[in-house]
Amino acid sequence: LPRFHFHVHDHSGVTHDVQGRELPDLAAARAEAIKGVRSILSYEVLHGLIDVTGRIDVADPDGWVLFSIPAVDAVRLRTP
Amino acid sequence: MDNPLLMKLEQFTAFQPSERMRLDELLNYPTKTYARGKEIISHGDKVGDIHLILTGLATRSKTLRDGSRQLMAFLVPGDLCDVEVFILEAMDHDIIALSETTCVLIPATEMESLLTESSSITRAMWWSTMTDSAVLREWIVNHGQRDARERLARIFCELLIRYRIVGGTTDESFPFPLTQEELAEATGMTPVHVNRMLGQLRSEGLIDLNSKTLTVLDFDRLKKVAQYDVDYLHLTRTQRRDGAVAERAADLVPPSNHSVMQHALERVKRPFGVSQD
Repeated sequence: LPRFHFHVHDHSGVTHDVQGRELPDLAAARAEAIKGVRSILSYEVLHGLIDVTGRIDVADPDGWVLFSIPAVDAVRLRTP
Repeated sequence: MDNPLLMKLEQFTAFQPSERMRLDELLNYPTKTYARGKEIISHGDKVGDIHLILTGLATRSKTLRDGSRQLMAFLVPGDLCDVEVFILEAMDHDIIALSETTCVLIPATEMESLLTESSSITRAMWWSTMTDSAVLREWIVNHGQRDARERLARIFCELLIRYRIVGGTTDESFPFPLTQEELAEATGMTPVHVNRMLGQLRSEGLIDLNSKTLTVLDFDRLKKVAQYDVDYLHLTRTQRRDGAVAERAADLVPPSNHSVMQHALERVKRPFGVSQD
């Protein structure tokens, strides 16, 4: 299985994913990234912060960014 | 080789030389080594031998039909995987090696005779089983009440102390072979979130995680973050600062005022023949 690394870019800087994860394909990596963004956002909401300016870069083991998931695209955002 | 079971049970009580010998004899039974990821015992198994972990790290886990997995406990050297099997019909969960793990296989009949011949070993085994339940209660509190960062911090506090008491480490580092995915399964988080929170704990100067070794850089602050209180491990003799046993984790485990007082009182009373024993 190919290995994907999920680097988180947000208000605190960059958190590199050194370990990475083996997943079947790009679609699975995309789903994993979206789930990841949502879980981080939900934690931050509990602490009173909604910040969707960040993103997750999904990279291969050589460091090439295959695609990015902007946090703002991982959720449907409705404001009054 | 050191006997991690003896080192663990010693936390509860001091043994007579004959009892120590008896516990050491258990290590003469055949051992089996499991590769990382292999099942030591599977859900539904009826096991004839009791698996005592000598080296490595294992986990209790349950897998749902959709494949998602919950880790419910970590088993370090000195832990018995399945001491309940000679009472229960079959295992109700899996035990899986998280790193290369060696177990000694103690026949259930041997455990039964051990428990009938020495009351202090029996009491220590009870202590061990009850402490396992207390660890599980902490796990539940972790899931219900602590947030993501606190959950991870608590796991690291506990593992450091548990490795220390069985001589698995003598400093602030311990083997930590878990992947982000496994840590996520243990904490109910996503792997991406686990990595993000590990990054935060690192940048706060609380931990370091390198080549499968976790180092606690500031135990006092990590303890505060985790709202960690070590009482539930019931490290009686360490809390009482008793003998060489206490030295292994005394810097991490605060003395218990009550037991220190009681112990001192007993010492004073002893020459006058009014000891409780």
